[in-house]
Amino acid sequence: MARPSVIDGYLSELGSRLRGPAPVRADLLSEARDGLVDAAEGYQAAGLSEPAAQRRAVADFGPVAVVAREYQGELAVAHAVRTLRVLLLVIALGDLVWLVDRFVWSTARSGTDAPAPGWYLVAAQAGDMTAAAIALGVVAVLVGSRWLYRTGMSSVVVGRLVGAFTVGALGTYVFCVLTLVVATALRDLVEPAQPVPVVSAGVAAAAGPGAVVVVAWLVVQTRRCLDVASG
Amino acid sequence: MKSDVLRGHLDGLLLATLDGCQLHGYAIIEALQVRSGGALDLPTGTVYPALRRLEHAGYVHSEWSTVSGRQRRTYRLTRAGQRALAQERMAWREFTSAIEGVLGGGTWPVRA
Repeated sequence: MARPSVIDGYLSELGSRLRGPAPVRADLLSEARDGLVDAAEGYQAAGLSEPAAQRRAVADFGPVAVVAREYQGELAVAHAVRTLRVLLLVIALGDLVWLVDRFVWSTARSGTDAPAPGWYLVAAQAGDMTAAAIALGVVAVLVGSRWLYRTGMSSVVVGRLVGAFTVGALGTYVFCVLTLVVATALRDLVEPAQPVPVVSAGVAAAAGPGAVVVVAWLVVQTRRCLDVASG
Repeated sequence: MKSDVLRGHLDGLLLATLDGCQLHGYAIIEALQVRSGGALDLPTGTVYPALRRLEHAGYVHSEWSTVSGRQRRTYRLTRAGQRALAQERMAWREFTSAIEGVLGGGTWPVRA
């Protein structure tokens, strides 16, 4: 087997230019190494010395900048798709927690609360509808990305399109969550909150810190999507 | 042959190379070069992302398998890939037939 010094140097430089999910990056580099080693072995079998064979294999593979651009497109798509799947899960879990809390609240305090102010209901419904629209959009993009590839679009362009959608979806969802939090705080200021049912307070106490972590994670992923897609 | 000319046909070339067989990346590159008599000359590093793109499109399926005692990612056509290849071939025949009619050097049809 060829000594991989030249090949290692090439792969190291290629790897240093790539950003994205580590498993996908490792998989791409592993396949690239296989191809380079195969090519070098072929040139050695044809009579070249080991260093010359490796240099020839690396030259055939292409300039690092050109190859890295193609690989980065693949990584941008992988990162965006992974983030969109998590966002879909977050939206579903958020709705589930909200439904549980609402059920507990309505069971414990049936008929005793004053109705929420109209502006709060509008804000809450707008948030719900936007989250639902984001979820539908995410599903459409996850399914539709195959169609984009079938049009012959390069991974670089698909990566930028899906990455841009992901940034928009994440940003909009974070805005919705924060709007609902602010609206709830304002409502409680205008109309001091009634004593909260114990179980409902428990749900809020459990979900609250988790929600803060999730929102922070979404903000970080939004930033990473921009980095990875811009390559 | 210039790589920018090849790039527009790369998907069809890769699908044709995988027609009826399962190959790993380097074997696909070798087959492309052998079948073209060495005329196909593009950076081999761009073939691997192209294969991944075809996989995302649902035209090829890949899996890690042992080839000659080493773990390799091997690719094979899916049904959708076979249909896409058939369409690529038909479009190519129509294209070459039309271009041949003009550039082929035959006699021009007499205008009625």
